[in-house]
Amino acid sequence: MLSSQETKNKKIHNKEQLQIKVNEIWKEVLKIDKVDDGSDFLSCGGNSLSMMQLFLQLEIFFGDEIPFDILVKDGNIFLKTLVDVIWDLVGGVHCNE
Amino acid sequence: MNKGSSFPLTALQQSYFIGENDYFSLNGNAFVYLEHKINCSWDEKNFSLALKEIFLKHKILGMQILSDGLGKIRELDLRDVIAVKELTTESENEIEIYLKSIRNKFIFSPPSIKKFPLFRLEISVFKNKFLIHFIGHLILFDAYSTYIFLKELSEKIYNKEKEIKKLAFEFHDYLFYLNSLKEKKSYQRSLDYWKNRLDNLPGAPDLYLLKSPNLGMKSKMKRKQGGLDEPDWKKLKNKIIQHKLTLNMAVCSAFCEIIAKWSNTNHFIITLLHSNRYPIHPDIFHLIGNCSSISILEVDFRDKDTFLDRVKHLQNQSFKDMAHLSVSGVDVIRELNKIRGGQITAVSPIVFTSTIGLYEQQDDFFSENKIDFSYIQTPFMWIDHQIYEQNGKLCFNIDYVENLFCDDMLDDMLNTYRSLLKELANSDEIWTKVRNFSLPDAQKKIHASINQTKQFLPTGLLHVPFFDYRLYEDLNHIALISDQFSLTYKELSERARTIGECLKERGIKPNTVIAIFLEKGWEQIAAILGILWAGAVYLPLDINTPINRIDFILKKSDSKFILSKSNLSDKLKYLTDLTIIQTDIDIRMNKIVENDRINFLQSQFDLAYILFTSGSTGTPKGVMIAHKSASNTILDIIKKFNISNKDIVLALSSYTFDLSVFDIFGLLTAGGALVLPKEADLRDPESWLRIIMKYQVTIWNTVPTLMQMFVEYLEHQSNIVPAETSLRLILLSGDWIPKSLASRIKAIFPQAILVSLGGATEASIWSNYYLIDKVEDSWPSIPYGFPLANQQMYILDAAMQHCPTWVKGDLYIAGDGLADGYLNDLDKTNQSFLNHKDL
Repeated sequence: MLSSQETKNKKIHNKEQLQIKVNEIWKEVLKIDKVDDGSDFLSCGGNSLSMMQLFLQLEIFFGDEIPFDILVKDGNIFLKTLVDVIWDLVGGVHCNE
Repeated sequence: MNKGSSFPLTALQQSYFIGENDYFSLNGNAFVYLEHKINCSWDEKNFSLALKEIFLKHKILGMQILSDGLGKIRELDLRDVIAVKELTTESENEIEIYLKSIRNKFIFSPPSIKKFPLFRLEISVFKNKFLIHFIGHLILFDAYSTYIFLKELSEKIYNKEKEIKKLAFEFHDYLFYLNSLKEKKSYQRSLDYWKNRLDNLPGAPDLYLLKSPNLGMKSKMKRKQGGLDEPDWKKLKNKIIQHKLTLNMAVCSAFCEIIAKWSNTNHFIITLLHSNRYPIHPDIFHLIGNCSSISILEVDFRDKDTFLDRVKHLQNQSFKDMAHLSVSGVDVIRELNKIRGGQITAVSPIVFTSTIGLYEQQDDFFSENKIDFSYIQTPFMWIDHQIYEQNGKLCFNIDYVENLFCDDMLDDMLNTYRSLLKELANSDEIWTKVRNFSLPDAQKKIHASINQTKQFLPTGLLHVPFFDYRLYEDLNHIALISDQFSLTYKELSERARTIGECLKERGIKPNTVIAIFLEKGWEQIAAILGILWAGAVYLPLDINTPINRIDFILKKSDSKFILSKSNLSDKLKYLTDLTIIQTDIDIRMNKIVENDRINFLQSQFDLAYILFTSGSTGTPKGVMIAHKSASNTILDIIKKFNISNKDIVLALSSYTFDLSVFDIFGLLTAGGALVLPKEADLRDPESWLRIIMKYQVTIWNTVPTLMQMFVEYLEHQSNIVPAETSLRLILLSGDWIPKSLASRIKAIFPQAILVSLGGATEASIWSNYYLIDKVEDSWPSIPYGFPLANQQMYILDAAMQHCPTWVKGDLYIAGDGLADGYLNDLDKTNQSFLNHKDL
């Protein structure tokens, strides 16, 4: 559940920081310990329930600027796409305070 | 939640509110009924205490629905909620009867939004155990809520000390959260997402219904169950995960595959019921209240042939949709309904729900505590399909509106669904291969036996029986009758042979196409027979056809010769490159032709006639029919209906229409006769009756419209008894026969055999027949019937696979009647005449 309090007040200044934050949400939602650049949602055990959680968490953290449907490719979500899209949309500007 | 203050409900809850409005079609109370066994002896005090604590935690259980559709919380009184019955009997039989009666009691008086409270319990007390009967309105309970309710209740009963934690987040808070979503930018995006898709969303799958659901019809559902055993489900799960798919979407695709097959469409919408709750607070998974939502899922299997591609597509679509669930599917349906102007009920009445993965993280309550019996009913829905996991097995329910669906059809669908899942579990190949649909075995047998029409018929050249004098004892037997004069077989044969010999003299070679441009009368028939005598192929033209169309037909068929008459040839004077042979000038009918030597110039595999049909495209296509093809149909009809030399047909059809082929060759083969009415009599029922009575006509062979005119005329004649006429056989074809017409014909001509025939010019006059005896009220139409001898019929879908019983598809005709194609038109021939690899 929501336990991102400790990172909540940090500003994100570069893509590496964003990557770290997204990885954190990803792991938490999917209840896994490790991710890498090539991770995809379904290989990490995602289902429709965790997809809802993922969208919700991302929205809580990055605001409601992200059109989540564009993240979906081939019935899956790729971590790398996720980071790229979020960076393009909200990167460097802000994250939720 | 404050007592006393009212609150608005979710869109889905509101639809359950509307669902009880008697006006709508398939209206009814939305409820779930469950039985849950507790394995300890009944202790009323303990039970009441447990229940009281649960009421205290979930104040929403005291929800009351106000007449304006808002919710309000009231105090619950235990006595309103619970009834107890101690069972004295231990006989299994009696217990079964008792359980049945209690289920019926609950199901027939479900909770209603107009009453309070919205749920009820009854306890059946047995020795050392008791059964909780629970019924709850869906406006209050979703699947997850019933789970929490029964779980907390039974935990408290088993363990008095178990603490029931207070909720820090209640249903009311969730409603508040859902409403707050509407303030967000993402909500606007989601509205646009759905709005942009509205115009392109397909319709609901078109399943065969026993009747259409009319306004005010009550919903009553029946359940069918199935599933996969543990080993198969395990194997299937592994394959699904390997393919990077979700369990729900893989099973949902298999379900859609069945729906697609039985509705013969690869593009439709279904409704998904999401039991998911937005995980915005830890207590969301501990609260009671219907938090479910629905969404519309567009299923598009077009151009996706393998199962894997189909699931991927469905999963992709559903994941995209999940980003936009803040807009309720109820609202999307309402918008669709506005666009399509239909009833709210039929927009998307097939529902898929899954609870797989929902309880998993919580505990094993359901795997240890079996729900012994359950029943669910939702308004507006036709088929409600639920899947869930129990004890490692995949289980599913198919709840369907009882009086809308044919029970057999649902059994077939369910069996095919089950075997598809089993195949998917056990074969890797089936995921990536284009799947061949196989009909259910029982249907396969029926289809095969209906098409088992092989029969020896002595087919040959159409004109041979007529010219072969030795067949007839009496050469002075009448062949053609008209008010002016009649022709015997001998006379007609002489005239036909004169024409034939004249054609031969002009150097016409066998298999040349010769057009005929004559008005109705004996000359048409003599010309047809003469052309065949010369070994040529006849092409009849209507004298009222516009000249440019005639020009097109003649050029298309490379026809250089045309048989006409001096009074008509004026119409043809602008046609170039054409030899007009005038039967009244160029052919001397009194010329004597040698009788004894008969030398036929063609074989039965050669063409007999070419008929131009417009078809749907408007461009005329010349259907080429060989002798043996038409001969096959004609000999079968003669045999089936005992047509003999005593029969006389009223020849109303134009010779450009293939019913005339039967009139001419059917009757002349059997030794019978044709009555040829004059032009003015062709559309006049009064003349028909006169002719029938005067010449003792026995066979009627027309399109239904002419018979309808006749019936209407006869129904107003008080001094005539049609039943006493000589008419013994009525053949109707070429168009839809209204049921009422069939009944009226039966009433007017009770002595006659009434036959409906069908087919296509492309398959030699007719390919199927049905003897109409009693017209049943339950029939939607007159049955198409059975294939004629040596012909077969198949109903195939767009993928050229068999359609199961009750499924609409395209009708394909096969067998000996098939034309040789369209004259000089290979493209159109290839489009319409196909080789099927399995048939």
